[in-house]
Amino acid sequence: MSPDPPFADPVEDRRLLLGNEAIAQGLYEEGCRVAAGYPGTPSTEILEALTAYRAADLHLEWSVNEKVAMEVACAASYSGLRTAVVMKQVGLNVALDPLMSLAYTGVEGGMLVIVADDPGPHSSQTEQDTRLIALASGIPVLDPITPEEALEMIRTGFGISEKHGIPVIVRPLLRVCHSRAPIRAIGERVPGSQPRFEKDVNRWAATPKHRLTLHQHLIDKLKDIKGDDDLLETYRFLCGREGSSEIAIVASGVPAAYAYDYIQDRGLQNSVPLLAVGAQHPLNVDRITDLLGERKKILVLEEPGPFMEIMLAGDLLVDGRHSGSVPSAGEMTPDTVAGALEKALGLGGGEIRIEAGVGSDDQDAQPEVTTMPPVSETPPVLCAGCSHRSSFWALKKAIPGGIFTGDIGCYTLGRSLGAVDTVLCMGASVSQAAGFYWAFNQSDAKSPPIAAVIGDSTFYHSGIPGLINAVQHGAAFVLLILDNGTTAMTGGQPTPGSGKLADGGQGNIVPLEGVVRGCGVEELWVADPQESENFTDVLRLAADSCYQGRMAVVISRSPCVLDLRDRQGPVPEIDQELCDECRLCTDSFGCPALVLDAEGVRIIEDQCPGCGVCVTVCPRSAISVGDPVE
Amino acid sequence: MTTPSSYDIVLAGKGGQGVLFLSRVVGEAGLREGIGVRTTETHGMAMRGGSVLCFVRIGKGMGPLFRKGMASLLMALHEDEAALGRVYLAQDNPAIINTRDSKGSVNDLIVDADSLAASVGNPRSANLALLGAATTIGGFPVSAKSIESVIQGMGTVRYRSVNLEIFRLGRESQTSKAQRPREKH
Repeated sequence: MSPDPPFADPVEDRRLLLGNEAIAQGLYEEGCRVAAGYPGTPSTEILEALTAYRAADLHLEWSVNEKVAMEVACAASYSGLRTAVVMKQVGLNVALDPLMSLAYTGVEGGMLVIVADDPGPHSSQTEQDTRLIALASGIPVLDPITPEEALEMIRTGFGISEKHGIPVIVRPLLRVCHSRAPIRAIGERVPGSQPRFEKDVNRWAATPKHRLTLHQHLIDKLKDIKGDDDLLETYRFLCGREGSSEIAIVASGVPAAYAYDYIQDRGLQNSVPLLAVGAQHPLNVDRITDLLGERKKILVLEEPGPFMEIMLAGDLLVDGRHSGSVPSAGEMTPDTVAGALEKALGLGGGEIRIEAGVGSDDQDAQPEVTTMPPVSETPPVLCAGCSHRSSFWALKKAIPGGIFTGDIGCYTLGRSLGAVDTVLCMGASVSQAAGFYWAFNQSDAKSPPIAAVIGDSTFYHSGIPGLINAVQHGAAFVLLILDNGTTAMTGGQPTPGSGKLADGGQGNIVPLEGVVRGCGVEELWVADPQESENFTDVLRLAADSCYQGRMAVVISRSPCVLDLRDRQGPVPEIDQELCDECRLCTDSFGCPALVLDAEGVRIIEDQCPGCGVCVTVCPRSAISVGDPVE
Repeated sequence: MTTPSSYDIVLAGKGGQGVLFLSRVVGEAGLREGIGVRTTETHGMAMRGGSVLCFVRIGKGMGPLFRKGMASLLMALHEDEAALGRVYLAQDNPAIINTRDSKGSVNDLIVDADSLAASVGNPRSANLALLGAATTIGGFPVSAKSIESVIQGMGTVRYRSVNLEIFRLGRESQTSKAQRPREKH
């Protein structure tokens, strides 16, 4: 009775691909002609995988930020080409301005906004739900359950986008982006059309009067979309359509898969109805109520936020993340889903159970409820030899007792070294430093020294306006730009400072010094943080400049250690006689190649890239490098 | 009661140990055998030496994760990370752990994968030694032959034969152990 679940048995021509790679395959096959985005976990591999197709009729770029990416792609869509813009969920905040307006103007060529949501959050500042932004803007949303379905939804998305002249959001959850599944062979690429821009000022350059008309068009479009058969096809029972249970499960995204697995494993597939809903916005509530028939009690499984639950609440007796039946925060795991299903279906208390695994014949044994022992995760640290660590070390020495505003990137990890006090969002370090400056400099209260720390890619992304603003208004703090020449956190995407392009080719360099000077900064230093003593002196000079009321920028320039192939120098030696185990090198400096164990402090040789910075860190000169001739 | 329809493996290790690579080798081998495969990986901050957990499902699962206390097998590339993975392991199901000293639980299979890999000059492939040992466990869902064919097509050509050797050393470390009475830990 129920249709096949949205995956098939693997065959010979299938490959084990990430959901992100499957999405890239879809973009290639569907003839996407312009693709742009800014890297961000868990979305990054989509554009990286698309680059690998080397399609001649595709412009692909890592844009300077998400807003720029969306504007680049939308103009190509105005010209009738298929386009995609790719980002993580918090990246959509940066692109929200063009998105809201794009819903009004609509598009000509199909345009997909691919936004990866990160329940957990695993690598994000928030657990925000992109569907709520879609609701606010009036953009349709498709939620894939599996990587296989994500691939097929690229086709559906382009189709809807072109039929109704509106961008479409495809919203893969982290566990779609970063899970692997067997993906079918690559199909033919849809041939593209020639670009053609038809001028229409009332649409593309609408004044408020015409905006009202466009708003009415948007409302009408959404009504049509709600009834579109291509979208209603995504409303289907994964199992139990005719099931006797008076409670039905309505689910989207990965939680639908967990519910399916649970129901299958418990052998309840003929009794518990599980309705999967792919098209989330505009949600066709009437269709869902029709499909549910006589059943009025439902449990909604979705993430990260409640969305369908709120939409369905008027007509049905609904439970979910909003009502609190399902935990309202955090990633939904198979255990959360199992707990919620057991509670809703009256199967048990929903505790974590330890049960016999594969091969157990003991079907009637009562499950044993066991308390799990607490386990600790190894926290991530900056790599051994990372120049950010050297910058932080010098910062703490040169500006003791300062307020350090931080930013988004590997160097956020400076928080565990006492060198990052705030992290808000991309670019905020610069404007927040100005805010702290004004908080402490409008009275006679003694101001602590203030320093902002931002990476090069993040500075280009959204640090520049903050710097212009600070200079204009006369704030004075040290801005430390950590320039490792790459977007390291997400795997080394190019930056404007390197001038590299997404496909590895060379574009034009946008020099960091020129940008800083162009923002009106007069006090600018460029120094290598691996030359620790000199770098600390530079930071002291910069701090002095601030004390005299002048904004100071220090560019800390040293390549990402992951980009260095060769060892930088010899592995230092530790004189155990001199070492008093003060832990400065292991804890305050915090290099993972330095460990303190029963034998004292030692250097793990195969981890040490030989940067030699620890030599300058030790107050007792117990760390040294031998004669360089050796 | 529950009848899991897939063989679920939890892989635990530290960033940089090749946990994700290992999950791909097992997954690709499953694909070659025509069995359903799903894996999920931890990215982002975990790349910086932090804990990495990886989940491999060989069989009929639709979701990439499985429940705690349900896994068929735990493979730990670092003994410090084994506890994190063990949460997912079903009682009485095997754990195989890469460690030099064998103080662990008496029920665990201990493999000095680092030394095995280093002995043939590629310490970075300790993960394959652990996998070799794992394939000797009864019920392991893919054959050593499939895994070998995957290894022969993965990674740089230079390392393929040595990687194959490391995988076989891992296998032999268990088959030779089985012939002797089990050592007390």
